[in-house]
Amino acid sequence: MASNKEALALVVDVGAGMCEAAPGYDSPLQMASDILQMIVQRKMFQESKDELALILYGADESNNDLADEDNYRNINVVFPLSIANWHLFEEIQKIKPGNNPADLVDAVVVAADHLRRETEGKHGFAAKRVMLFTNAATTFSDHSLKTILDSLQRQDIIVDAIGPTWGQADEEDETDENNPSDSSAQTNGHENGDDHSDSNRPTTNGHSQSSQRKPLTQQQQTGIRVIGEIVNTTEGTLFTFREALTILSVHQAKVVKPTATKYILQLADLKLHICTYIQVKDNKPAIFRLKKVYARDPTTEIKVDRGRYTKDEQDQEIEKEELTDGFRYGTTFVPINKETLDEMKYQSEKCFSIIAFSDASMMRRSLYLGDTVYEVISEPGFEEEAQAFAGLVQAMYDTNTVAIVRKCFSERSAPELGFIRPHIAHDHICMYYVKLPFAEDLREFEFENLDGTKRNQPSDEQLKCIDSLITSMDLTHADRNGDEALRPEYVFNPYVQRMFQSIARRAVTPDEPLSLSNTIMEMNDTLLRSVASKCKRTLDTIHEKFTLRDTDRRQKITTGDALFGNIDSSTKKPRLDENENIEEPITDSSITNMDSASFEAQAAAKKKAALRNVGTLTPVEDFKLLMEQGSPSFIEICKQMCNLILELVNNSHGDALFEKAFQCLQCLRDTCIQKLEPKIFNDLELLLKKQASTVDGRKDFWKKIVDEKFSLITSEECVESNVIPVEAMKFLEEETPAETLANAATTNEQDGEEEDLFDLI
Amino acid sequence: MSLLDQNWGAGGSAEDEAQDENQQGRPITTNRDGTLILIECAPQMFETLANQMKQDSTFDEDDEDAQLTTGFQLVMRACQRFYQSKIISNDKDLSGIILYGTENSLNAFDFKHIYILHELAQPSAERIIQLETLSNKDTFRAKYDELFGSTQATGYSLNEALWTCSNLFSNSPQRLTIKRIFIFTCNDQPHASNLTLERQAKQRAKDLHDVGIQLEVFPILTESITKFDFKKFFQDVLMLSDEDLEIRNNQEPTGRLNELLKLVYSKEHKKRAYCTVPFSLGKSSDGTPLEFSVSVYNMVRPCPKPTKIKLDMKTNLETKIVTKHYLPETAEILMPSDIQYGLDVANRRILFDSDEIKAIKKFGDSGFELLGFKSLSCLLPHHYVKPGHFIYPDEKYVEGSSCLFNALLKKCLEKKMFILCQFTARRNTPPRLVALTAQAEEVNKKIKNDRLASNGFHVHYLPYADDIRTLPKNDTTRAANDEVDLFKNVIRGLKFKYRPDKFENPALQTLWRNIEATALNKGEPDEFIDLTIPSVENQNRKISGYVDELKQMIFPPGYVMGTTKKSAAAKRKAETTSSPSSAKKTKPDEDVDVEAAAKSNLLSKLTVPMLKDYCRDKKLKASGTKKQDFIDVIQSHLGIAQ
Repeated sequence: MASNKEALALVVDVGAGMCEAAPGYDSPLQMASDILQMIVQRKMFQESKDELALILYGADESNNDLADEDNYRNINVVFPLSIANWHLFEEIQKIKPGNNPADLVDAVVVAADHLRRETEGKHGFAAKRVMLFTNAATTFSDHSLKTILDSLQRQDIIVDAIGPTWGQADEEDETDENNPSDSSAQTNGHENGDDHSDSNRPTTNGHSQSSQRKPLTQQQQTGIRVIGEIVNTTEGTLFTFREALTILSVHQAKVVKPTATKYILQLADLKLHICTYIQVKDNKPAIFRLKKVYARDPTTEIKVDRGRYTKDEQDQEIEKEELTDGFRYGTTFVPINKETLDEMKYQSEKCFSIIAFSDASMMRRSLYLGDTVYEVISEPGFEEEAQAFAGLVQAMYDTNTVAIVRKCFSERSAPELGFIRPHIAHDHICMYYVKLPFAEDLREFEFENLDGTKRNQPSDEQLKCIDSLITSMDLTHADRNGDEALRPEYVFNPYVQRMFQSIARRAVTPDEPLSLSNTIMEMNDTLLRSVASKCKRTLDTIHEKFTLRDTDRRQKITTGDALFGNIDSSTKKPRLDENENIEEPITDSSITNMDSASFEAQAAAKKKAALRNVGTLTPVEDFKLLMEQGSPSFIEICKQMCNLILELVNNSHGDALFEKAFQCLQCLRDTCIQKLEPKIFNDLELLLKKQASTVDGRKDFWKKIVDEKFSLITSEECVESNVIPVEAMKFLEEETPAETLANAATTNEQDGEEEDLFDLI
Repeated sequence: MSLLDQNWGAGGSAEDEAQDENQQGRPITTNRDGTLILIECAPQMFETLANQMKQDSTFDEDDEDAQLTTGFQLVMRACQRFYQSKIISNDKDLSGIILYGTENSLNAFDFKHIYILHELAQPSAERIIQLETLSNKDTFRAKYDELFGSTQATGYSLNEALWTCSNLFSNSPQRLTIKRIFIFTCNDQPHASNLTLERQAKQRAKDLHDVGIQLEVFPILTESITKFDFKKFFQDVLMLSDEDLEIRNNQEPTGRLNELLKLVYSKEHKKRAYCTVPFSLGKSSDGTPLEFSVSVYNMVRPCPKPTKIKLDMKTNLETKIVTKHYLPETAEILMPSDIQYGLDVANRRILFDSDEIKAIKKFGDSGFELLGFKSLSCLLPHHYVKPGHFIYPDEKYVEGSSCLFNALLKKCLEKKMFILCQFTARRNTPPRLVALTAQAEEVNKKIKNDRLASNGFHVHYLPYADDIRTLPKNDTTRAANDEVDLFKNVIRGLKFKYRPDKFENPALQTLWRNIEATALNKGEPDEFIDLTIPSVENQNRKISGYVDELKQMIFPPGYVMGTTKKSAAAKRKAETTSSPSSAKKTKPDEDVDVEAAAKSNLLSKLTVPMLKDYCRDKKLKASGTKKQDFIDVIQSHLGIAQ
């Protein structure tokens, strides 16, 4: 059933009263415009099928179907009912204050009429709604109000009204409201709003907002009364600007309609119809799927060609017909054609069978696998089976058991193991299904008992301070209503929020850089700050009582991290230290910029350092800068450096370039130790030594290395090295290199390193 | 320039990054282990294995052990299994086999009596087949003599054997994260008569230890060798403390394949951390960040399926994919800088650079940030989005981490609280909320060294509000107490103690066994018993009494449960509304329903399958597959105007 879309007329008061604002505050019209933009953006992002119209009253033009010489003047249908688009968005941005009298009741009539005309004969409109944006400052006549209300009711049109205030908030409240930096405003507004709301006025379930401190005029009070009546009669809602902004500020992705997957739950001879629904799954809005386009002509989508080539130097393309499927069995390739493959595959039937029951306590959360939690309910339409299902759930609930289940989605999919846990609420009865691991999926790591070492046993004093940390940071009842704070149900994914914001910002102002905020911290600022202030003293005690010493060994964690540019945060520290020794101010500044999370700074720094290669002019500096950039990959940069050193040595007239080459070598050595990559340097030194024996001129460079006692990186300097110090010394002393450690295979090894690199890219 | 250069990688692709997020549990491919298996070939290795095993085997139905009568065969079969398991679990790891005490020699240094059977490399089918021949009772002797010479030599040097291993490691074409040597021997004092050799071997072992090569010894007991005393020689080689020595000497060496393998695998554990990150508690008043360090491990991850590859039909060699981005019109190949990322919102294209996409994803540096603590009861059953981790303190980066970690652990256990954190796994992955639940050490009460769970914190990913869906409520009537009681009996009858290592993956095992059979030229793949299929028969034996009672209580007589035809429900519904006499609806009746509905203009209330059935019966051809199409054709068939 796709017939749940809505027809929505946005009716905006652009009369003179909407433009008045105290200095420094947004006019009501400006705020209305902001809210309208958010509504339209949201509709577009959610790919909503809802249709919208934009109607201004108090406008200079009288463009509407009902207008004639005398009636329905100054009401302008700017955007006739259709699906939200950028044109509508721009119309909203273009809204200008009018200077004409306009009748709010007339505007509602025009809107209702427009909705009727535009939806007539069209399918799928579940609701019709008029959304009125006004501060009720302009005069109007309410002589035919009764008829109009009847007509609205007959047509099932709901009228909501959004304005700066609906009069229920008192003066004191407003001062708070006008100070948006005061976070307590929300609370106050909330309470006051509730306390003062009149019974005959629809509740606005919240606080109010005003941009003017002026008391309401007589006219406004009448207006509010009439609007209240319209809204009440049509079962609409009154919102203040602030409420609307709060509701709209959280971006929501397109709502996914729950779809059921049907199974037969089998338990011995019992077969019950059930269906599963996705209850929890990482939500990746479809809209975030980006396509690659040509930078110089963004309308052109780039095509991707994934050709198959022989894996050798020839790089010959292979036609599809010449390919066959296979599996890797170690280094052996096992070619397998399609038919055999199907035979080899495990055959299963669709099923949802209970294997056995187990104590719920055996089901450790750490075993959960998969990416989805399913809700399992009995399929509607089978009353008896539903009753049996309920009996099973209740029995499992009472005995605190779970059931281990074999589940297979279809004949073509692999069966999985999972378990169902009963869930009973006052109005709901279901089970939750989560996938479990097979034996192959377990990795049985063992860790030493922490109490095994005396040093790791905390003292009573230390335990006491952790105890008070837990107490001061207990979020179980830390919400302002005494409820659980930061419940997953109320914390929005900051990435999704940021992505939506970025899209909106880029769509509206394509040439401006993005501004990135929206961390979990920012989104829950108030709460976290109050928690932080409470535990400040405890943290100081912890700082005092526990000895934590940074070993400065934090470099990179694994090669992989470095290769993929994911250098661990903590690498920063030693890196920054290192950079203090660099004279060039440029390098320094660009590094500081790099550290800032702000994108602009990053982009700027990147442009400045649009450097891809280690050049011969200032190789050491280039090398360090590239390292900072994190791209190209670490190995790639080292490779460039190695090649450069060899080049310098080989091209040197006499010893002219030796000093520079030596500096490079020194820099490379330090970096290799730091990055736990001794092999890169050691291989190079092996190569240098080998060259020294074959080419006369290189001997002098080798001699320099020996004189400077510039040894291989030893295991003492770097854990990754398997060269013990004695061997390293011997390596330098020995005249002929052939018989040492790694024979003459060094060149090959370098190739090996390269291959390895290509494998990774 | 190689074509590969155009494959500029996943750096900027948003899709790939999204994938990356999913795959964050995968070990990074550069992490390879190297294992060298060093096997002594003394004459005793060809004696019948120690008798305790023989006794057992009479009870054992497993004929594999019965086949492996000598230590050499046993070790060869263990190597074969080791290779096979490597292929499935970590096929990038390198292994090799070196024999010492052989007549023939094969090594780079012309050492006597040291034979490199397999250089350090990934396992292959050829190697496995060779090992099979070397362990098979009919073939092993001949093959052994052919390869290594018939007599066993005694003049070998363990020092040289270890030096050979070390050399293989340093010549490894790939960088190895873990290097280990497994020695299989029946000789607890190989150089009893030669002090120099013994000293050399010990010194060599120490050197290896210094460069981080791990050594492990697996004793093999035979007819004539019934005791293996680590103290004589191997205590120094393995650098065992006196306590460890005691444990080792009390361990019963096994002659059984599976037990030996279990021992091998337990020594092979690599605690490879997924990442090691700072854990921040906040800042103290003077602004010093309060941070300790933890290593993050993946305890449960789906075992990857065998990788399907594309082979060149002509050569049966592996191929590679080269990804090229080109303009559709001109076929011009594009560079990364030519590519932007776009999405369309309401017909407008919105553009980002790849750097911007990265920046949007980057929220902060990796690590845990403390948000607070909560009672364990706040962690609801459905609070789960993806497989979690396990954390254990790390002293390498921040000394003192263990103590603080331990204090948190103790207090969280005591107060039944969990830690709420924001966790950023990698710099470019957006943060997620995680619940850290304390895990105390659990030891099997019966077997002392069997640790069931290690102490540390489990990391559970929590969903965001965006991830939790609102589902319609169903207010089913509750079952009556006697029904619930019967179900309780059913549960009692089918209760067992769940153990996660109980079930093997049927799809994975079947495919691997088939691939293995093909690769090793076996006729039939090894049999696989699928424990995930419940035996309804067995279940019935235990609980059929209760089930029958339940059936009688809940269902009307003759009710067929779980009939998959949807119409069954519709039928029963129809029954209750129309005359109860017609137990079974016949086709014409249904047709009447449709026709009646058509006449009263209610066709649109019927389901598409019903309309479809009617059309098929009457051989009506609808103009399309939409509901309206069926309605139209039925209406025109019955001559009813719209």
